[in-house]
Amino acid sequence: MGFIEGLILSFVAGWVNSYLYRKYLRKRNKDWIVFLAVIFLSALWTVDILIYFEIVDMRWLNFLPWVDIPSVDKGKYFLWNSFIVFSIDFKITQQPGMEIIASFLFISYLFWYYFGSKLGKVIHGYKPYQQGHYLIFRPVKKFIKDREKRLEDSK
Amino acid sequence: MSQLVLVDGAKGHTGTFLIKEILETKPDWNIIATDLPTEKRNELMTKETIFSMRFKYMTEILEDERITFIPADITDKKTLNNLFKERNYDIIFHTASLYDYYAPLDLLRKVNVKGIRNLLDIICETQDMGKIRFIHWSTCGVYGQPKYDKDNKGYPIPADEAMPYNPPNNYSISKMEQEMVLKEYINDHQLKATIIRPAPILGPYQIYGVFHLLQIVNKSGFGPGIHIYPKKKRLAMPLIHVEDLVRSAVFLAENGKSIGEAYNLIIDVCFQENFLEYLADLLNVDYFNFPVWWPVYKTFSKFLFWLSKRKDKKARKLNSRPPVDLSMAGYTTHQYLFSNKKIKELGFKFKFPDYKSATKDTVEWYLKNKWLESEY
Repeated sequence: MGFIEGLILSFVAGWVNSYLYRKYLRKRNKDWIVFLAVIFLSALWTVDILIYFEIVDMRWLNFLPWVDIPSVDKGKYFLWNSFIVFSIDFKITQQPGMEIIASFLFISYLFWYYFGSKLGKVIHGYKPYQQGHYLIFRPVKKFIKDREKRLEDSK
Repeated sequence: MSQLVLVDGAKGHTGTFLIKEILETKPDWNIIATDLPTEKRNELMTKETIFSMRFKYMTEILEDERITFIPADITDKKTLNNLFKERNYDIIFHTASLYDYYAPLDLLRKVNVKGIRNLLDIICETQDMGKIRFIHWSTCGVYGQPKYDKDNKGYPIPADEAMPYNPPNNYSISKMEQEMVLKEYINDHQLKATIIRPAPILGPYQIYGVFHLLQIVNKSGFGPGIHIYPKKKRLAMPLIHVEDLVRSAVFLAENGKSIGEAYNLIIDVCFQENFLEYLADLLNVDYFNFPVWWPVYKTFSKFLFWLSKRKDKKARKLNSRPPVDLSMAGYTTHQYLFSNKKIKELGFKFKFPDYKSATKDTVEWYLKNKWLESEY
């Protein structure tokens, strides 16, 4: 997992988790929104720490023909250039002082997760019966089908 | 003093509340209530089942012993004979109307315009015109969006009852034509009529109109906290609580000064942003403050209107109704700022004079009776 990928992933995971929470989990336990955040962020931070301190060696990806992770500072190189797996190599090498930027990005996962989760809440709603702003764009066919079902049920 | 009153549209939202008001406050009034036969009514009032078959008006009130219910159809003059034969009414409350933005103009004209003509014809033929009082239900919609006078800071001044007609949709057109028919009878037959023009009604048991807005906010989980800038462009939220509406009708029926006059029935000026923030608070949903420049808001509303138009078209194709009727979506950019000064000057006191009291009473009722979903 790279720093930039981590940001994107946190945002998307926040969004998806908020949808799953509304649709399936809130009914079971309202605290699931916190559990999901803790589970996801702990996993992401753990993986990044393991890579940064080279406990996990990412050079195994070198089997891909377009990936070439150097053996010096391999963890840091991968974290800064993780898009290399998609054949996009920024060739950023860690310079003195960049640790501050790295820690800033690393901590900001939390906020990106939060933004994604907020957006998910706006778009999909928060409580089981809510539909969020998606309600405005919902196909009319679905609405009519729901209504017919409701009418049938309430007869 | 004992009075015989006729309430048409007695199975409707306003009709049932009016009957309740009379039963509670006028022990010596006898009520003849009328409405369409049940099957015919269900066929016409498709709006009442948009959200659920479970939602019903309080029609059980019609079983009270002081009420005689006689089914009739105002579009069929013959059926009205039973209502008027050998009866001399003191007051007629004409609440019967097809209030449906989805209905085609022909149908609206048939029920609302032809209906009142049939009713007034038979009144002229059978009743004592020197005695009978006629209270007619119209709508603030007949003004459309008036050209407002501005104060010295450029803010619009609420419009009064003297504003000319400018109806923006089929329903309002039919109500305007209805008023014009009534005015013919006022002039030609000296009918002692009073017109009330209510703003969108809210209150318990209300199924159509403001209820859509409450459903949308509750279902979406967000109060759209749009704050329009410049402030002089912010939009008003015209409302009236159903209890005040029926109270005012009884009040006007007993007040000689109201004969031949029209009255706006609306709460004190309230703006959409305040209403929606309060509503979000009551429904326990999030509310974002979102300042928007007026031209941007207008463009976005036009987009939403276009979207509603597509949904309307699609729903008609599927022989059904869209979730929000097109004319309702059209209201999102209209400024409806009306004055209630005239009826206040006549001495009427509102029970729910502002948006907070009216909204709180309504939302609490909906939540308690599970007409609005909640987790508890």
